[in-house]
Amino acid sequence: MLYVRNLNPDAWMNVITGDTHPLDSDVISDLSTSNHELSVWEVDDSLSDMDDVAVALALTRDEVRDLTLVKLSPTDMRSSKYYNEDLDIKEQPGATIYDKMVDKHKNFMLPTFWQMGFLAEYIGSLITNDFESNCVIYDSTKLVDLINKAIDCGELNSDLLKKHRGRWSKKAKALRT
Amino acid sequence: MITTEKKPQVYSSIRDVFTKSLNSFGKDYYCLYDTVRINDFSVFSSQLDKDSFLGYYNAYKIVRQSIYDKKQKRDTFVKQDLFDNEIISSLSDESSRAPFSVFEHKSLWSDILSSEKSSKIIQSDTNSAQWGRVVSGFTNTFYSIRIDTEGIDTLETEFVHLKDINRDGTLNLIQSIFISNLENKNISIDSALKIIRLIQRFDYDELFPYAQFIITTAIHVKNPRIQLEALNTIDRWADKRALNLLYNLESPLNPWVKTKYESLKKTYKDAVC
Repeated sequence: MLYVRNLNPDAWMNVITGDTHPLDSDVISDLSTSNHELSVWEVDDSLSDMDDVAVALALTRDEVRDLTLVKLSPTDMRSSKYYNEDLDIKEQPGATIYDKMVDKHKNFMLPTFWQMGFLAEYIGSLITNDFESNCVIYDSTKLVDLINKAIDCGELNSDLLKKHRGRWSKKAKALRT
Repeated sequence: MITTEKKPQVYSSIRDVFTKSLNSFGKDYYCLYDTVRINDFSVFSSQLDKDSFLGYYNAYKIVRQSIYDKKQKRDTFVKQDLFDNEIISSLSDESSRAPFSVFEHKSLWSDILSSEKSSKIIQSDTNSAQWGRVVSGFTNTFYSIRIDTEGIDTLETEFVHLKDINRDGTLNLIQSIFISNLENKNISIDSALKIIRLIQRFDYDELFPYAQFIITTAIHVKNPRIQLEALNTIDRWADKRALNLLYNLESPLNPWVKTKYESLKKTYKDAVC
């Protein structure tokens, strides 16, 4: 099973350029936990539901921004030199208005800063070695297009979108016209 | 709608309001906006209700913008017949915002436009001390805000005020801030990102062509974080003209920026065009 997490370029870009180490404080801050839990989203190994996961993640917030999703495989992590210990994964419904994907949200359990650091180094290796294969970028325009398609299929309620995610709703309407 | 009987009182009140605002707020340009925003209508005569004032004020803004858009000088405009066909046709699309015909209140507009004090609202001389003060205020805000959503919200509010007074002057200002930053040996990434994130708040045409120049420059800046944010602007525009802009740019070298660039080209083909 695969999991994805959005990366903030403000924190991670310098890792790719080599200007900083994955254990940079901004990078660690981007992996901040609450109750030792780090938010991730589950994706099929075939990536067939990636678009839906992207929409679900995008609709956890009102700000219209693109997503840069890094693909994380616990199996691969375990065999890597970075995070070579078992990873506990906890269920938690996602705070998204895309109801269809609510149960795809999970939490990685990171008990100490060691696990946080190991994960940072692992992600750093993914984006440095092969960004294109290990990451997927969803432009905000692409996300708006997917939102419109979800509305057309009846999978997303446009009134709910307007009420809770007004900025996405406004962009979706603009793209339709 | 103001009736003929009420017209003399309203006419006098509107002129008094504009004049009083200028006197009491020290002639800062956007204090007139503050008058509307704080909803302090105690200065108005009892015959003039809030909706009527806003109706006049909206129409006043439209006329003022027409003057500015056509780059006409104040005295030239006043000497012309206010109601020539060109001006009427340019206002005709704004009928939903102007609740009454400008034709009905020709003397009102002539008086406002010709009075010396109110002409200072219309003339936005970039060499004037008043303009210098508001620019200084904006610049202080620019360098002090955080580069988060709230900070950019604050910046956007001040930027819009400035742009309403003098569009070209304001856009030249942000262009100057952007280029001055690049002239520094150690450029401030945050300053560049603030400008770009401010531009992202507006549609393709609203800041044309200044925004396009800044964004195409930013895409060629060495720092990949700036390049990426510039591509995010093209993403937010979602305008077909921006696709051609994209095609005329070299593919970036940084893998993250390059992936964004390729993704954007595909997105535009699928979703925008």
